[in-house]
Amino acid sequence: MRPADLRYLESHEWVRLEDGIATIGITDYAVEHLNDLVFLDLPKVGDDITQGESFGEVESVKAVSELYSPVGGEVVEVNEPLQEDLDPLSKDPFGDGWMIKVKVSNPADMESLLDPTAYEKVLEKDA
Amino acid sequence: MKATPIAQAHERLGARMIDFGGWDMPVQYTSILEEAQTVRSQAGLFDLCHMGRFWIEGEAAEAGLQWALTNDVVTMKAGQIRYSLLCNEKGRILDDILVYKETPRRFFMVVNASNTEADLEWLRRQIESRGARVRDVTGELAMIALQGRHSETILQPFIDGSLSDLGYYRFFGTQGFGMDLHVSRTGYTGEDGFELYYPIAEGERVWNEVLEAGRPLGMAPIGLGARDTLRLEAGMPLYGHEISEEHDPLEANLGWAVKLSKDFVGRDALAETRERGSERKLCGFISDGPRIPRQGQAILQGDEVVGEVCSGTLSPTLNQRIATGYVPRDLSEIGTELSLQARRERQPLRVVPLPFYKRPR
Repeated sequence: MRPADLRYLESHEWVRLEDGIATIGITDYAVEHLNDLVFLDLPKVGDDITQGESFGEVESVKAVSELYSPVGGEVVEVNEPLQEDLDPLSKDPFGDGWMIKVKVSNPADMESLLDPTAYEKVLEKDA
Repeated sequence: MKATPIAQAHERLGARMIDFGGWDMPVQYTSILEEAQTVRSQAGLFDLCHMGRFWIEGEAAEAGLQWALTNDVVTMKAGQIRYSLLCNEKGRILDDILVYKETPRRFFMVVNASNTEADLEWLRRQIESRGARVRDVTGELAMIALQGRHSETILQPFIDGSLSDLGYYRFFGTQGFGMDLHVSRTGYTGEDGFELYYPIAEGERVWNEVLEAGRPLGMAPIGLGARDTLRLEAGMPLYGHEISEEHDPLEANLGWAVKLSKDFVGRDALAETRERGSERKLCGFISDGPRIPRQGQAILQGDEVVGEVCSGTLSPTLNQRIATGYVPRDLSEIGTELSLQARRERQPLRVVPLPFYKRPR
């Protein structure tokens, strides 16, 4: 199930903050909903990303979806193998399916995000 | 939103539903790619209750349709089905339809769901003054399709009369599932298959019985997502994508469904276009980039925009990214190398023959 230490956006991105570094991905719900994933476009190490703005795109057979960043900061690591093989994204969205790591410029960004209970409520509303 | 009589079965089957032309329709049950492969390799079942259906009746039915349609209905035999277009006076496409001839005084027609009301009004204007009646039976009849190589084996036990004797684009009225119904050998997937037309009250029962009988042969329910992939692989146009009032049948490679030797709405404009030659042509493309081409994306030659994508998908049968689009005639040669503006990136686009996929026979 969904790890308890994550925060979320309503657009189904998750973030885990450890020692000032945020790991970002998309949730199992997003993966299930997108289905038939074919392409992932991620930023490069060194890029600056802004909270609430697009940091990339994920494409399924059906549509292209923007990826929104839960926090702002500098990209310090990108899950390069994931762009070649999307399988881990489908199988382990909270683990091997992580997308980028960001050096968070303002830790207060985390305070505006959904906690696991609030995210569950979003899903209930969607269902 | 309108619901089909099979809506409860879709819910039970776990379908994801979308609004399609005002109808609540299943877009996928499991995966678009998986469902498309199921139809190519085994069999699929489609809910088509949203499609517009009319009876055209009366002494003048044949003459009326001969005027309203681009294709010839006089030369059709009883029990035959033909593809045709409805065009406006400018020869632009209002819809593409199938017309079924029962007798010269009685025809059936299947039209695109999103055009049902406009087609009905237009047909009435064209032919009711000539003494034929158009009766909308969309709300009275269920329609489902079985598509794929096992379709005949699955359907035959339910139907009186030999399906193997039913030719492609032929239909007949018979008994089946304990009632009167019509069966046609038609489809929109490039596979062999059948479409059934029967009373709406039996909508879900027939669906359930066919699916249960088909499961051991690998049959699965198929959503509109895979239907779009299958028709695109088979090179079949979709209204709102390859064809619309922006386009005429000649540039859409549909000249074979236009009979200039008879008089019909749009004939003169189309005769002129044929004389002059079309400026652009609908082409098939393969794109060797990471992105799937999408409707509306620009097609470029160098830095010049020369067209736009009508439809695009990841073809599970070819394992290629495929697309259709209109380009100027001189760029429509097979093998012409163009490029696609796929979001931020450009990727190659090569003209290939249509259809992308042809069923091995």
